[in-house]
Amino acid sequence: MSHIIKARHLRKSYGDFDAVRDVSFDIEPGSIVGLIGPNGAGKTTTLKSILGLTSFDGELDVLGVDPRHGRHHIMERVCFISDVGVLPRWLKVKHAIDYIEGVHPKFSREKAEALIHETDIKMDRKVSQLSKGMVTQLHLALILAIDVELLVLDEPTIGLDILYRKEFYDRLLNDYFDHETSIIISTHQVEEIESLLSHLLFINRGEIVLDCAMDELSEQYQQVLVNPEHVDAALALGPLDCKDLLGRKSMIFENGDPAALEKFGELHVPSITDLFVAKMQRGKA
Amino acid sequence: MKQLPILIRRELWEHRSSFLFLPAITTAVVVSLLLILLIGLYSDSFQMSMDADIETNSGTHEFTMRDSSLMDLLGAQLGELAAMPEAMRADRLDSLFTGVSVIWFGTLWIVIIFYLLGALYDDRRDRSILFWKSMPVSDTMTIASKLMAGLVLAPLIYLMFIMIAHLAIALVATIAASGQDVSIWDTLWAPAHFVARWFGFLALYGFIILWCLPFFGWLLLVSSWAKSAPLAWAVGVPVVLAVLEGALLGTTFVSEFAKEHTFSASFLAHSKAVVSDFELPQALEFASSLIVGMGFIALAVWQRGKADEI
Repeated sequence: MSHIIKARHLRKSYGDFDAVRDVSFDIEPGSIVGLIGPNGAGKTTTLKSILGLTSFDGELDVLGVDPRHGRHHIMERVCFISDVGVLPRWLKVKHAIDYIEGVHPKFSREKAEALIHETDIKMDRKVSQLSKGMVTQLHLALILAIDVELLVLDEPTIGLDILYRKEFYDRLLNDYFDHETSIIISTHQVEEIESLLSHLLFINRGEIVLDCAMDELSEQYQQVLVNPEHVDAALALGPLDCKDLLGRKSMIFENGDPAALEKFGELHVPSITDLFVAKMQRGKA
Repeated sequence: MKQLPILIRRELWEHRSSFLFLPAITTAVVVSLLLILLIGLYSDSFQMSMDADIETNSGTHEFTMRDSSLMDLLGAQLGELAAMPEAMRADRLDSLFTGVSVIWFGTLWIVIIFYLLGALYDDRRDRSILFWKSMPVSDTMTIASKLMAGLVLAPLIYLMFIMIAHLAIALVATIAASGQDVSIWDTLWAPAHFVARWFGFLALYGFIILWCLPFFGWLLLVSSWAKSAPLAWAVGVPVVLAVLEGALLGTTFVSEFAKEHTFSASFLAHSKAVVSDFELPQALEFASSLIVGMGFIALAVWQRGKADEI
C-alpha cells in the first residue's frame, strides 16, 4: 500500500456552512504531516472524517478502509488525541490503563506504566484531580503505548503552557516516531511544529491551499529581502506576500526563478509561519 | 465479545455511587430505621403498661428500662407470630419481606432511568466521547455493555443488598428470640422461604425488564440523540404524541402503551397471576414490547454511530 490516507473531493456541510469544500490529499507512510489552518478552516472536520467520527461526501481511504464503514476497525490501527480535556474526569489513571488494555489489542501496559512513572501522575488519581498539563501527559502516555500505523493529533497542545507543549512534542518525536508510523498534527500554532514536519498541508475555508513536502519547499517557495531599488521589478513578478522588514521589502514567491530573484536581494526559504501568513492573506484577498 | 467484561467494569467505575454506594447506604439506613421503629413501637406499648408503676421515675430511668427490654419485646412479638395459624404467618412475613424490598426496587428504578438517560448523553456533553470513540470498540458493543450494566449488573447488586437486609432483619429477630420459648426456625426462617423469595424476585425482575424494554430502549434512544435536557425529551415526546393521537384519531394507544410499559402498575399488581396465567393476549403484548424495545435500541446504536460532541 503506497498511501496511508487517500482523500478525494472530501465535502462536509453543517447546514449552510461548508466546513470542508473539496479536499484532496495523500499521506505517505512514515511522514509527519502538519494540517495547518486558522480556526474554523476545516481541520477538525477533515480529521474526524478520517477517523470515521463524522459523515462526509467524497472518497476517503484510510489504511484500505472507508471510515464510514467501521470506525472501530480503523481505531485498531489509528490513534487519536483531540485537544486536551477529553479524558473523562471521573476516570482513575489505573482504570484508564485497565480499560485500554481490555479493549485495545496493541496496547502495552508496561510501556504505559513506564511513561506515566516518568511524570508526577499517581496511579490512583482521578483525571479531575490532575492539572490540564498532566491530563495531556497522561493521554499522550496512554496513546504512545499503543503500537499503531497512524497517529492523529487534533490541536493536541491547545491551552497548555509552553513547557508542557515543548515536552509533548519532544516526547512525541523521541519516544514515538520510528519512520514507520505516520503522524498527522493539526494546529493553528505553526511555529511549534515547524521543525517536526515532513509534509505540509495548509487548509483555509475548507480548501487545501498548499500541499508540499518540506524538502520541496525550497524549490517551490522563495523569500526575497528586496532592496529598495528593485521593489517595482519584484512586485511585477506577483509575489504571494509583501511586507516591510527593516527598510527592505520581504516578498514571498511561489515557483519563482531563483536566478532571477537573487538579483533583487537576499534569497531565503520562507519560514512556515511567513508562508502561512502569506497564503492565508491571499485567501482573504 | 471479550471486550464486554471490561466495558461493564468501566460502567461500574463511572456509576459506583448509584450502583453500589446508594444501595449500601439505603441498606444501612433502612435496617437502622427498622430497628429504631421497632424500638419505638414496642417501647410505647410497653411504656403505657408500665406507666402506673414508673410515674415518678426520671426520663433517664425510663430509657434504661426501654433499652433493657427491647429484645424481650421483640421476642414477645415473635411469640405472637408463632401462635398464629400457618397461612396468616406466611402472609405476615410476605408483606414484611416483600414490602421492605420495594425500597430498593424503587431506588433501582430511578437509578436505571437516570443511568440510561445519561448513558449516551453525558460523554457527548463532556466531550469524552472523543476518547471513547478513539478506542476500537463498536457502537453495538458499547450499547450492549451499557444495557448489561444498567439492566443486569445494577439489579443484581441491588438484589444482593435486599438479601443482606432480609438476613439482617431475620438475624435481629433470631437474637431477640434467644430468650424466648419460640422456635425461630419454624416461626421465621422456614416460612419466610428466603431462597425461593430471592429467586422469585430475580424471575419477576427479569420479566419486568423485558416487559418494560420499550421504556428502557426509549430512554437510551433519547440519550443518544438529545442535545440538551434528555429527561424533558423523554417525557415530552410521548406526551405530545399522546395528545396529538387523542386530538387527531381520538384513540389512546400511545398513552396506554407508555403507561403499561413504563411503570407497568397493572402488571406489577397482578404480577403473580400474570406470570402464572400467561396467556395469548399477554404473550402478544410481551412480544410487541420486545420488538418495540429492540427497535428503540437499534435506533440508539445507529444514532450513536453518528454521534459527536455537543
